Amino acid sequence: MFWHPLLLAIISAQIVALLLLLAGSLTSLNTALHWQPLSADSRQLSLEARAEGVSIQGRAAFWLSVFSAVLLVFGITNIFAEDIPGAMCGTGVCQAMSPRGSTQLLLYTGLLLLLMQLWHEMDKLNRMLVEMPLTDITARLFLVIPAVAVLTLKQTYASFAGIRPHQPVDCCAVVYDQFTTLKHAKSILGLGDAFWISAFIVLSLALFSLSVALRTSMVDRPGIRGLHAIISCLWLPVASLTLVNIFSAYHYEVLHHHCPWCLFLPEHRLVGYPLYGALYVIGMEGFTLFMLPRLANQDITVYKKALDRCRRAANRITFAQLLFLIIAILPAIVWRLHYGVWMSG
Amino acid sequence: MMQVTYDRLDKAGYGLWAITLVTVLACVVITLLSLDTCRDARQITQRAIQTLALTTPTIIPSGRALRNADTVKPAIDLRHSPHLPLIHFSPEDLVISSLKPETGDIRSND
Amino acid sequence: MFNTLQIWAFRDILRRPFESLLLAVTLTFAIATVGTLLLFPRAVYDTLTVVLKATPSIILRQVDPTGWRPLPIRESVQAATSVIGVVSVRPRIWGMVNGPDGPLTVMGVQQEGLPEILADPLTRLPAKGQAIVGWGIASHDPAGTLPLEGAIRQTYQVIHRLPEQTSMFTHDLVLLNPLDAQQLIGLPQGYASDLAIDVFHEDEQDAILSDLTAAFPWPVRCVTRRQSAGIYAGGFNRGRALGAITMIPAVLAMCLLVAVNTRKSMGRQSDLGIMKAMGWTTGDIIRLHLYRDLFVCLPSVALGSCLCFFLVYGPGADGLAGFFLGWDTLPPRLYLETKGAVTVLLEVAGVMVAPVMASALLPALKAATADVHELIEGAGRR
Repeated sequence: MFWHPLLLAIISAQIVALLLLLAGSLTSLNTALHWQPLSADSRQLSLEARAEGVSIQGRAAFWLSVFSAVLLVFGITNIFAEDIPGAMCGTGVCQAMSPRGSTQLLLYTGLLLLLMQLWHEMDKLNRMLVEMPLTDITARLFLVIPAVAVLTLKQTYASFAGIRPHQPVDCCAVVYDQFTTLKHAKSILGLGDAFWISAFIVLSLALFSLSVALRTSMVDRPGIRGLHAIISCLWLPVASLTLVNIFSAYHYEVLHHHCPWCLFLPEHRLVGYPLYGALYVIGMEGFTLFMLPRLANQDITVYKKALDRCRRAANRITFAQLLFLIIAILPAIVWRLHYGVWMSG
Repeated sequence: MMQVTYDRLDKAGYGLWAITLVTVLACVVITLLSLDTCRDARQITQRAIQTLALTTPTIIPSGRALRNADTVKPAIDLRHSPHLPLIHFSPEDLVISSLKPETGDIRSND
Repeated sequence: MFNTLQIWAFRDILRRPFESLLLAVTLTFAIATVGTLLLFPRAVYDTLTVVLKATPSIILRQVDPTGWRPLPIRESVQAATSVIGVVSVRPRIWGMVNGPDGPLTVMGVQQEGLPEILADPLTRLPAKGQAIVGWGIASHDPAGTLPLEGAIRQTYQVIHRLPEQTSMFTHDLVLLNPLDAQQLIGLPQGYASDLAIDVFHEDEQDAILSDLTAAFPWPVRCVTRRQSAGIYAGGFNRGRALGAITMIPAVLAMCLLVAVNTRKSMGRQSDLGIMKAMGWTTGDIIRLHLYRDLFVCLPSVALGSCLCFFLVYGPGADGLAGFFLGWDTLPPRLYLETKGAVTVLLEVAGVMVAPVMASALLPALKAATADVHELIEGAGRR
């Protein structure tokens, strides 16, 4: 087992968030079963009051989950490596956890954040109107979250319990053992760098223009929103793959060091935080943009508010994408201007 | 009656200012203590280390096991195979090992 | 600057000032204790990782089945310099002897650079019978002599003291003439305790080890800088986690205290009923209680963190060194890095502040979402 005070802080924040969620889910169950907005009996009135309480609990749990996720990423990238011999960045920490454990941990954390973000947005919309027309559906959504939170907590414990602090790891070996030949190193999934670069450019342009379009009245068309969702689903993996395999070389100033975690190190000016932060924002806002109008289509007033929120989401996606492009590509352009060639030749 | 309520709210306002002041002062002290004041000490220590080829920090008294932790007798390490993992004994493992749900992959040493 | 709700919340605190004060004091000291437990090892760890970068790349010792053996200086220097990538090889003569107040580390010096650290160009290297001592070695004798007992028993004349700022590495060190040191430790003539080897490139440290071991005709063991940093610093880090675990019951007790306190103040539920009847929403009431707890928590957190910063980075560090590191005599003066302090503040926020705030929020929510009618009636029945 690996004990670090920061891990204690993460687990403590997760437990507190889980307690809040569990306390709220009882009321949510009642709400989901007995919600009758048209009646005015005492049960409905007390349900309404308690639903407001659940909303406050949920928001507290949301911010605590975000806090614990940030601590988790910060710990994996910058802190835990110091206690694991041979680990220099997050790759070493993940290797010490066993690859499956670390992937599951990150997946569960991401899923929890995704669900909580969706719930948070729905709840915000709901609270904008006096009638609270979305209470029923937010309560149902809220019931899903504790299950994922339990899984995340369990996985956090299991992953870190797998670490043996005195068993050395070799994180560079993991990074360089991904490929056996130079040709292999210059390709992802059997396709050459040129393919991925062109895919990245095409998808970036498509995503950017769609996001800009969605800031106008075109946000009302479900087809365009669907297309935007598909494009962002394609863009996110392509962007992260090209970032790690191609653009990161200009940050590291070393070729073929395909490490996603080293970007977070202070030696590389902590660029990982804004870069992955932008990816996170695009993922979350893209998901919100796609799901929110679908879930909030029962009431025309709420739908209008949802569309407003979608416009803001499109705005944020545009800015996050610009930030990502600037930070990811600028070093490559500076390199090209300075030395007259691309690093990969 | 009115007057009493007014006084209390007034006092509460002053109280709020007082605790804000305390918090801000505490933060200022934290900031002052966080300033890097030990750069000189660090440099001269590093010079001393380089000159005298020191390796062990003297923050633990001489004669204790932890003082020369890197030079303790290598009784455990002197086994016949360099490929055996190090035997490590720590109280945490005693407590935790029975609860361990999942362990890392066994890695080969080659 | 403050809105009415906040002032109202503080007025609520003033209605029960002693309870709030007690809670604030408890929270302050709990945070100061947990914070110090976490911050002190962290600061020592950070400082060591910075300072250890100046140590020699590799320390090489001769081993036999019984343990360490002295190295013949001439042969071993020859063998080590023959390895490609080695920049400098320095034999070290050092060992543990008994001083007047307990064990001390003795070192034989011949390096010319020593007067520079002493900032006194007139200082000479210790001649036979002379010693330069670290800051922590108190001389009981007014004449400035230091009796030492190793293989032989002898008294040395103290000619100089190492500066206090280097305390973290020279605190209880006695620098002697190499010949004196050899006699005192019991090393034969021409032998050294180990070799300090510097290599050309930091990354070569590990790669060069096999060449080094092969170059010596007898079994040797090497410890690299990275390994020794891991040994010293890693131990501290695990220690602080164990220390933090022992604080969990205290945090739980605090949460219970806060929850009971909040529940008790919720006992005056007629207030809540009237507030709700007057049009306060559940959110307003929760906000009132959150403000009330924040006004107790925030100053306590700030004061508690301030206290532990003061203890660790301020004048309190010496006392802590005596307490944590086990010094019976004068503890070393610590000059600590503040680099990792933010991590500790985050840890304190996660381990202490989040549970305490949640334990205040839950009972408040329960009371605030109750029915108005029941609140007022319940108060009337009591």
